[in-house]
Amino acid sequence: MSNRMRIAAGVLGLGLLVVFARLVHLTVVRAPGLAERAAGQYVQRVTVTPRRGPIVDRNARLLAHSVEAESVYVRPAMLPAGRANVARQLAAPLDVSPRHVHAALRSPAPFVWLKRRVPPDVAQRVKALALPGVDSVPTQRRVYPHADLAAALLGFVDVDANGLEGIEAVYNDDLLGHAARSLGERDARGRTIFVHGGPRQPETLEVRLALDARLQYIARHELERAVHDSGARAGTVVVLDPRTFAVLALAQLPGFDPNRPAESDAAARRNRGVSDCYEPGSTLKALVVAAALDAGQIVETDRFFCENGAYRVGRHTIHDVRPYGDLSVARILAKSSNIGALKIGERLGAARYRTYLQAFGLGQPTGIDLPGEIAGILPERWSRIKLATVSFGQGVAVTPLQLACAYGALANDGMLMRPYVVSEVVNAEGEVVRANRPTPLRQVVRPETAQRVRAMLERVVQPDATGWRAQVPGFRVAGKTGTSQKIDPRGGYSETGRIASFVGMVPAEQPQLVILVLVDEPQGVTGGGAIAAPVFREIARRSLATLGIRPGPRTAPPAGWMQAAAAPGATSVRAAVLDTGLVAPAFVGLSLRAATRKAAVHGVRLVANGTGYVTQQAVRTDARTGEPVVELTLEAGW
Amino acid sequence: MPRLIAWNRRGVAVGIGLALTFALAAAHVWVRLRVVSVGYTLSDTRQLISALEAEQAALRVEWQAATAPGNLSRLAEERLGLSFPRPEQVVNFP
Repeated sequence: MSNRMRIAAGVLGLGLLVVFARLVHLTVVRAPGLAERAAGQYVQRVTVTPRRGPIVDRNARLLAHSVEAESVYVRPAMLPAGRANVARQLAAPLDVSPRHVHAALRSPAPFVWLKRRVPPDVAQRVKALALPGVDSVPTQRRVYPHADLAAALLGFVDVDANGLEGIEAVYNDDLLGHAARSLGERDARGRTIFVHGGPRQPETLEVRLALDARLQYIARHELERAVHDSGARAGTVVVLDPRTFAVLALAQLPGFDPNRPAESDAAARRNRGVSDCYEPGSTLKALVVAAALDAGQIVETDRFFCENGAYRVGRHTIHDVRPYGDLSVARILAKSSNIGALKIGERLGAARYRTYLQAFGLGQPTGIDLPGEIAGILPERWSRIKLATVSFGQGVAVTPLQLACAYGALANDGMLMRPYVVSEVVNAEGEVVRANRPTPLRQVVRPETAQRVRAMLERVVQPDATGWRAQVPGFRVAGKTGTSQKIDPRGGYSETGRIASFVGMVPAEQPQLVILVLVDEPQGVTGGGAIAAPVFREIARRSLATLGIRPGPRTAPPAGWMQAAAAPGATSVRAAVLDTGLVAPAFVGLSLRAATRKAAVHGVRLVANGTGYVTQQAVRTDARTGEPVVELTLEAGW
Repeated sequence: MPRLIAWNRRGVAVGIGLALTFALAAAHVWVRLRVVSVGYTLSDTRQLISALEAEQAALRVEWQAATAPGNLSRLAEERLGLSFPRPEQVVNFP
């Protein structure tokens, strides 16, 4: 081998050695760092964000859900010339004005949202325009299929799907869910290859409410009708199951559409059932009677002289709507005598009465799982006049839910429980993650006391009492009317502003529903018996039918009370009257014209006394013809 | 002669070794290709699931809106002339 060849071999050998050394350096010494850099280019972390969980009612009816959407954006710097033309092209599919789009296109910002949370097909139409700098990113849109049905209770979310109000806010963490993460590799076209296995299904939780959408609709529909007919400013309805204190419906007006919360004002979005308080008026009389009975300060047979309608307490004179003399405890409730109630309050004493009101839950939040609940007002120190006015529901303030719960305690044999809206939170497998179970708080009054008060409240819906319009045919109803003056912001009570309310329970012998109706500032007739009691009746009647609650053998009407029923085997209602002499079509609550029409349909002869609406009916035999007739007593509505 | 046999045995062993190495390499490549292929399938399936879930959610919302009590009540009134019976139209049998 010549020297030249040796030198060449040496150089080549050295070169190979350098290459080999470099190879060792890259594959051994720098391997971890280089592998990491390579992985950074083709390995990607994939995060699957769950859609916000659904909210359903007690029958799994969907109340809120999230659907796929796209948010369309523009990078103005990348747009071609002729922006006016681009704006016109984009305005049509996005359903916005060309001026709005043009303003966005002229923005100096590098990135501008054109429209957020549009349906996927809209984004597709925008993408089909193939405009440089215009694109979209996937997102989600919260949809409330029932629109404003239970908006104040459900709440709403912001553009990033975070709950802002109502159930959406309280259960935000559960509804947001947990994202699933995984590693994938990216190919040359940017597609993801799950070489390490795909991500797990992201965990989403479903919030199930105690609410019944059907009852919510009934409550909302009847309230809407009452508010419209009476020209009222607002209204609230609470429907509670007194056996569990589950809130079955919580309706209010005015409402708002949670699909477009920005289009409503804050007052409409406030949950009036828990965030507003009012003076309960005469509806509080049932509580003073319950407290005095339970404390042994009065007995049912006690009679109170109602001072013929005017009674001085210090410098003040308390009036009744009509002058009354001696009234029994039950009649004080039935006639809603302020003087009778304050005399019961005086006998009970301020300290004991306040303790009972506290036990009924007044002056403190109920603890319901809704945001913004207030405590109401229960004064600390009571003067003599304060005791007098609180006895008939002035000088204290309650939320509609508080009062419904207090009546719930009377319906539940004296046991107050914590109300709840969400019954449980479940995962995708249907396993219960969290649950609200009926929670007894305290025994406010003894069961016998509660039963006695319920029996007295049944008298309130009899034909000669204030709440007769609340009677539900076929069922026993117990309840109380209330008409309270509103506070004037300038001081004292408003001359014209009234709140008409009725709170009651049905079936009275074994209550399954407690319903509170509140109509704020009705025009013209303002009495709770005239405005709120009919709403109670309609909500109760339709709700009982919807829930399949039938009048049972224990729901026989009190003596002297006629029921719309036909005797078994009778061929017609007329035959039932003739054969048994026990039953007749119900005319109570009808106008004379409606009663006459109904009598004609059933072939029943009527004898009418008075004007206005039918308050009583009785079957008797016509002395001249010997045939049975139905005698009606009518009174002017009040 | 014995040396020739020894050479042949060594050649066979080397051949088998090379063949095994080649087979292993081929298997590795095949497995890797399968991993990528299954990865694509997983990715496509994930997208399909996501799309179907989105469609299901949209349909569920549409169905619920269509069967909402308010909507059914309106349709019953407007199209079929139905309404909830008035109190005087209800007869409760004792």
